[in-house]
Amino acid sequence: MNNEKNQTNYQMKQNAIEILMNNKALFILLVLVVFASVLSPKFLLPRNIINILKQVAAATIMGMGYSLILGSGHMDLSVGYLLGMLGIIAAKLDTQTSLPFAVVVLLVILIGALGGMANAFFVGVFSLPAFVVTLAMGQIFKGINYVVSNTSAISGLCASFTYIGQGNIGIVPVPVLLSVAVTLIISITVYRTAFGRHLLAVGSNSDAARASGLNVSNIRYKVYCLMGICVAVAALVLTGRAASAQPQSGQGMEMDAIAAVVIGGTPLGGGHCKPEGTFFGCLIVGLINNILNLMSVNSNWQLVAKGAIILFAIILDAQSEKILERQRLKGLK
Amino acid sequence: MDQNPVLLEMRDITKRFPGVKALDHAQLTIRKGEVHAIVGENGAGKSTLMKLLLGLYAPDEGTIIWKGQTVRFRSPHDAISNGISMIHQETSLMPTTSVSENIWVGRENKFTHFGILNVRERDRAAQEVLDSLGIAISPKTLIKNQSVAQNQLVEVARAVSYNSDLIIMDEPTSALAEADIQLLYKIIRDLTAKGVSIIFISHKLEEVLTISDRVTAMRDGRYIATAEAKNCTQDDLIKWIVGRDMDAMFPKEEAEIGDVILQVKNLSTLNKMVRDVSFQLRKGEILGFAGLVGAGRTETMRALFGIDPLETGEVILDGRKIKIKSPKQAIHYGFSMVTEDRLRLGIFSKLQVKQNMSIVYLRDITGPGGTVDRKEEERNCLEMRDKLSIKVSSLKQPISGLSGGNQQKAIIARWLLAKPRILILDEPTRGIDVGAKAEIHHQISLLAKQGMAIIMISSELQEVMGMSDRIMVMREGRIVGEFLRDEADSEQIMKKAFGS
Repeated sequence: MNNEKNQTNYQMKQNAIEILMNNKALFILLVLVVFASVLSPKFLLPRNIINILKQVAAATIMGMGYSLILGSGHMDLSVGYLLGMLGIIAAKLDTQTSLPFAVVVLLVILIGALGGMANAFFVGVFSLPAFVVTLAMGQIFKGINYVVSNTSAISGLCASFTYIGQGNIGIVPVPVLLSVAVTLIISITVYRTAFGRHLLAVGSNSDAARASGLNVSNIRYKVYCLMGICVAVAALVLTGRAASAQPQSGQGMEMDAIAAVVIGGTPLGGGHCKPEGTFFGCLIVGLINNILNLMSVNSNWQLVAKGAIILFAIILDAQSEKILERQRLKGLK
Repeated sequence: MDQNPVLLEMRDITKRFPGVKALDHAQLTIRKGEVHAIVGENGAGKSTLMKLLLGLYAPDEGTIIWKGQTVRFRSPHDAISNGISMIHQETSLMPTTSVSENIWVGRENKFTHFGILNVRERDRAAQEVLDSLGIAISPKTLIKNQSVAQNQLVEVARAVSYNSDLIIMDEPTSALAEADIQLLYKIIRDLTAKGVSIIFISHKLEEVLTISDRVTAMRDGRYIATAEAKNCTQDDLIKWIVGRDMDAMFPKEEAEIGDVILQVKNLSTLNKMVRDVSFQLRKGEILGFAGLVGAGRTETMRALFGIDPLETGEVILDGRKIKIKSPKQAIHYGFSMVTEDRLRLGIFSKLQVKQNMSIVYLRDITGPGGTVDRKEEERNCLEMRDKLSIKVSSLKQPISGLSGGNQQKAIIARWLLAKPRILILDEPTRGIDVGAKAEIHHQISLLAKQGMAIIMISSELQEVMGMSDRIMVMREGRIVGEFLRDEADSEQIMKKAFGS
C-alpha cells in the first residue's frame, strides 16, 4: 500500500521533471516575464511586448534555419556575415537598379540559398569540419559585403522594403507575422515530413543514415540551403526595419542564434531539433536584452550578459541530460 | 617447466553481463617463464578474462592469485604497477607523436628534472629498449609515418619496457609479416629465458603450437582444458574449441528452395579485404557465412550493399547485371542489410524506437507534399513490435533505452518494413540474450519459408550450422569451402576457417 503510494509519488515526480526538462525554455521564459513585470510596470504594456516580438523577429527567422543546422549535426559560423552581405546586396539592388522589389526579394533569397549551399559544398566535397569552412566563408561574405557597400550604409529604400520591417497587418507587425510563419513552416518540416526525419537521422548517426539508404550529401545541401533562405528573409526584415542597410549588421548574430537554439532545447551535436523551442529561446534572449535596457544597463555589460546566457544554456543542456539519465536509471532500479 | 613456480592463478572466475554469462567458472594458471596460449572461438571469453585480470572489469565470483597473494586490480594502471602489461590487438598508439613518446607515455617523470623533460635522455632510453629487442626503428619517427607492423613492434617494446613479470599479447602477429613474426618469437624466447611469462592469444593454431609451452582452451566462457603444447595436435585444439553438441536452439524449418535470385561473381574490393568471392543465392534459402572475425565476410556484404567500393566483380539479380554504388541503390533493388556494427551503422541513438524502425521505408508512406503518413507508420510499427515481440514501454521512447536484444529487433524490423527480397544479416544475434536469440532465429526461419532469400553471417558455428541450408567458409578474404546442410561438420568447417 505504502509502496504503491511511493511508486505513484515517484512516477509523478519523474513526470514533472521530464516535463520541466523538455520545456525548459518555456519555463525560463515565464520566470523572466514575471521578473520583468515586477521590475518595471512598463514591461507588460502591449507596446513593449509587440516591440520585443518585433526586435526578435529577424533573430527568430535565422534561429529556425539554425535549428535545422544543429539538428543535422552541423554548425554554421557564417550566418551573421551572410546576413550583413545580403542586407547590403538587397539595398544596393533596390536603390540602384530598376528591378521590381519582388524580383529583388527573390534574388536575395536565391543568393542566400547559394551561399548556404556553398558551405555545404566545401564541407561535403573536401570532407572538412563545418566549423572551419563556415568560419572562412563568413570572412568571404564579410569581404564581399564591404566591397559592395564600400563600408558605408545604404539608405533610401523603397516603401515595400521598409514595409517588411516596419509595416503592420491589422495590429500585427509584418516581421512578427513572418517570424511566426517561418516557425510554423520549419516546425512542420521537422515534425511531419520525411526530410525532417532524415535530417535528424543524419544528425544522430550519419554513417548509419548512409547505411539506411539516405543520401547524406543531398540532405546536407538542403539543410544549408534552408539556412541560407532563412538568413535572406532575416536580412530583409532587419534591413527593412532599420530602413537602411548597415555593413556591420548581422555580425555576432550567429552567437545569438546558437544561444537561442540551445536554450530552446536543440542541443549541439545533432539528432534533436525543436523549432518551437527556438522560438521561445529567441524570446528569452530578446527579453533579457529588453530587461537590461529597462534597467539601463550599459551596452558593454549587455555583451557580458549575453555570453553568460550562452554559457548558462549549454551548462543547463548538459545538466538536464544528466538529470534525465539519472532519473531513468533510478526508474530501472 | 612443471617445476617452475606459479605466477598467476585465476580460479572459478564468473562474469555476467545483462543477459549473458561471459565467463562461467573459468580458470587459468600461468607459471613463471612460460609462454601460455589461450585459444577459443570469438566470444569464448578470452578477452573478458584478460580484461578482468587487468582490472577493466570486476569479476562477479572467483579469485585471482598473483605471486601468491589474492589481488583485485582496479585499473590497467594498477595492473602495470604490479607487473602485468598488455599488447592490445588494435594499437593504442598516438598517431601524431614519436615512437619514444609512446613508449614512455605516463612515465615521463623518469626523465624530468626540476620540471623540465629531458627529451634527449628519453629518446636515448627508447633507443636502448629498441636495440635490446633488435627492433630497427628510430625512436624519433612519428607513429603515423610507420607501417602497422612497425607500430605493432613499438607496442611490444613498450610492453617490455615496463619490465613486467607477465606480458599479455592479444593476436600480436595478425599485422606482422613473416620476418617480423620471427623477430617477435625471438623476443618472446629472450623474455622467457629471463623468467618473464607470456600469455599469447591467437587464432593461428600452428603458431600457437610453435611458440607456446602450454595451451588453455576455452569455450562459451568455460575452461575446457590445459595441455602441454608438445603433446597436442591442431586437431586436438579444434576439437576443444568447437566440440559441443547441437542443441535445439536453431529451429530452421523446411522451406521450399526456389530459383536463383542473386549471383555474385569474382567480387574483389579496393581495400583488399575481399578477394575473388563468388556465390549464388536462391529464393527461400538461408546461405550461411562462417569464418573467423576479419575473414572478409562483413566486407563482402558491405561491398555488395554499396557501403564500400568494388574493385572488380559482377552482381546479377534475376538474370540481369546490376551495379550497386550506394546503400540507397541496394535498397532500391530489394536488398536489406542488418549490419554487424549496431552502434556505428545501426541505431540512431537519439531517435525514438518508431523513428528508428521507419527510417528506411519512410519514402513509401510519404505523401506528395512530403509529409509522412503517421497513422500508417504507427500501425506498421506496432505490427512489427508484436511480430518480433519487441519489449518497449512506448514506441516513442528513445532507442538507447532498450536492451541490446530489443535494439537489434528494432533494427531487424526497420529492414523488414522495407519489404526486401534479399535479406543480409551480419551477426544478427551477437551479444544478445538467449530468449531474444531464439525469437530472431524463428523469424529468420519464417521469412525463408515465405520465399525470402537470406544471407546470414555468424561467427558462432552452431548458429550457422543450425540455420543455414548451405554454408560458405571464408578465410583471408576468400571463399575456402562450401558445405551443404547435411554434410556440414563443425570440425571440417573450423579446419577451413583456421586454414589448417
